[in-house]
Amino acid sequence: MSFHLGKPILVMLFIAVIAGAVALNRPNQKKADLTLWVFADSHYKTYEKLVPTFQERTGLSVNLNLVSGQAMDLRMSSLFMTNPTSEQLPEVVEIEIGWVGKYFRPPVDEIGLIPLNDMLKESGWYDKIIRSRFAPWTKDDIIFGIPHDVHPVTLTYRDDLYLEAGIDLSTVKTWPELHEACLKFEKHWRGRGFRERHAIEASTGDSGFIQQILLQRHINLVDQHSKVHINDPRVTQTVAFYAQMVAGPRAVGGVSSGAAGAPLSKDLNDGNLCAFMTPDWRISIIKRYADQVGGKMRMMPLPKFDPTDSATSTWGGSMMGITKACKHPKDAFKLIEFLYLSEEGLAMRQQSTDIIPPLMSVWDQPVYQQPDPFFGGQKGQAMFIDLARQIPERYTTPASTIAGMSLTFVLTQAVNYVQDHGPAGLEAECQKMLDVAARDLERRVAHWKVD
Amino acid sequence: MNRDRLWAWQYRYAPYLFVAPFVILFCCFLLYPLGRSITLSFYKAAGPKHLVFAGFENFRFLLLDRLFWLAVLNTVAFTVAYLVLQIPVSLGLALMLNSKRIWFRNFFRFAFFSPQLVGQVFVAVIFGLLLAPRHGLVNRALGAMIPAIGTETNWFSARMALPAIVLAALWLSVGYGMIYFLAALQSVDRDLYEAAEVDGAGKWMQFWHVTMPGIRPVLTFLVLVGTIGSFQVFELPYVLFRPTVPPTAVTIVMYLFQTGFESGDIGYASAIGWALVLMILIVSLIQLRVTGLLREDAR
Repeated sequence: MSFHLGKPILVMLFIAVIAGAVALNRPNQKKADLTLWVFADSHYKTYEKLVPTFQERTGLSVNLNLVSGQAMDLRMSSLFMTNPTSEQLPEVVEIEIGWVGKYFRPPVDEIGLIPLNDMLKESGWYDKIIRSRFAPWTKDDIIFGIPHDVHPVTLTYRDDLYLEAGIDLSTVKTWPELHEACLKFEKHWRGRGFRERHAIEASTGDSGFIQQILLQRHINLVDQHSKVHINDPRVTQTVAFYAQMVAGPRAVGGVSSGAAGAPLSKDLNDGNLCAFMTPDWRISIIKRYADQVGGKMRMMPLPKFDPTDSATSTWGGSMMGITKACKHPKDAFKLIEFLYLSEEGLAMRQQSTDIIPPLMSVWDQPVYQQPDPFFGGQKGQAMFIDLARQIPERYTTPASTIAGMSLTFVLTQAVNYVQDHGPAGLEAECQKMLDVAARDLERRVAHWKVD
Repeated sequence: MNRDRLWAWQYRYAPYLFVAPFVILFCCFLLYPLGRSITLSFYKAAGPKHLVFAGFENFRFLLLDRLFWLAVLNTVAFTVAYLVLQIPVSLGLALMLNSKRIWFRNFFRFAFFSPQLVGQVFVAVIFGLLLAPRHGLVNRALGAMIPAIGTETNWFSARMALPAIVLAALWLSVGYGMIYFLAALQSVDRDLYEAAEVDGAGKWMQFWHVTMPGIRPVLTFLVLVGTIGSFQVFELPYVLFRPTVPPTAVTIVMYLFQTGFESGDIGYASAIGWALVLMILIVSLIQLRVTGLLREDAR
């Protein structure tokens, strides 16, 4: 048999016909009563075990999907911008704290999520969940999500290596004291030939550390009313302090070589990085990768600058919201209640992660008071719960991402200044740079206003 | 309809039917989005119902946006550093692998070209591991060869970000340039070399007066494509530096992405996109004029 266009074209035509026929005859998937999109693998694994029980109890079918965070964020953004009631949206969605700012750009009645104030109050959860944790998911007093977590931050450290250097880190109460302790630590270990051993994980190019301290000091770079605080004198003090911690003659910070995997494991087990800002979600990562140093680690509340500062900060977070595409919001709310707040949901979370729930009513349960052998018998979860009560409010706005970028830009300039000129005059220089950043942000916020 | 009319109909309309799939796809996925982005660049967008005409306000804002100009500066610095290294290295490799004295030439040609097959994201992931402090191969090698530098060079810091991107981009694209140069070198007339040799030209003179004019169209093409590609660079720094991108690694397209998809300002992001188009157009026209290709085309 011959085909005048050649065999490759014939094969391609054959494949096209077969593929077309299969695609046309594919049976339609039955749409579940509720579709839930989740971006975190660990959350998905927890919910996977809970969903059958929920289906059995309520008779509602649930389609649980694990979607890549980036893909989900882009999809949600485009659908919220064009058609928030589109059938392509899931009924329930788990959203990461870094994404939500841009979803809050429209006026509240045009946001793609359903307000939850009434349902939360009617069900009684509003009084049981720690109030400050609603802040990231709220715009103009309207709550759009039920918080999954609190994520208080502690300082975890290699107690054995600090003690060997003659330092009891648990006695440190302020950031400047911590800096001095770190300097002493590095001097001790450098003198013994440990060039790669660093007192604390901190990088020259990441303003995340500074933002943790700023939240501790009750400063959001941009607050819930879109007011810019990036040039607050306390921000200046913190940036100047941090720049000296990571650059110049008094530098003590070491850069992490990876967020997970073999490099992190080596850094932890070899003692290359000896102290970390650690929210509750990071505990399980540290335990997994620092398997050889169990019992040698300790945790403590964060040092402070001022007595009015909180002893903790908050890092990361997620929530579940109901989209406007949902035809039965009460059923969707039941699903969220079951996964996040029910006894079964909390027990399953306790088994698989160290993340404490935002539900104050369960914080006194004995399960959160167990000593943790990894931290030398310290009651780790009890400490997180104690800190969770002091959690600062964190707001998310469309300007939050750009504000973070601006702060990183200023940090970079501050680091260059310390490296080139030393610490003299640094704070005044930082104030100048932050004033410029503030004007830029204010201009941007004004430009975004459409009303 | 009789048979003759049917034939006349198909004779007239068949060409349109054949080009229809392309035209429809082109209009849906290129022309419409392009037109829409031009429109959007004149609007402030804040939700499905909130689209407010803003005239040239987005462009006015852009002119005074220091983060945008920082991104432009970074992109230009990357483009210059990248082209200054990529073109000579590619040409050098091509000259070497064009020589009959090299054994396993085909193997080396494939080896140098192979990074191009895996794409920017893969290369960024690989370089993320290679450049890691303390445990990355590059830092390990540096520490072993120059102990004073040690193993802790932070390639992801603001100061080292540009060298890190250029290094990764070169690894990715040197082979690509080499293949083009190889093809060009092989098309240079052998007789010209013989004639030059008879005239007493040495190797350098032959390279300068025979090889270079022979490969000039390819050289211009590579510089042009390299410039356009460098102005549009996104995936490489985006993946290499995530989640903490130092300010010196933010390129124009990254800033566009951050503005549009992380801050949700689609109108302003569209304005940035069109500013980028304008910049590429101007740079390309200047290049074509400097290299004389515009005049040759006119002739």
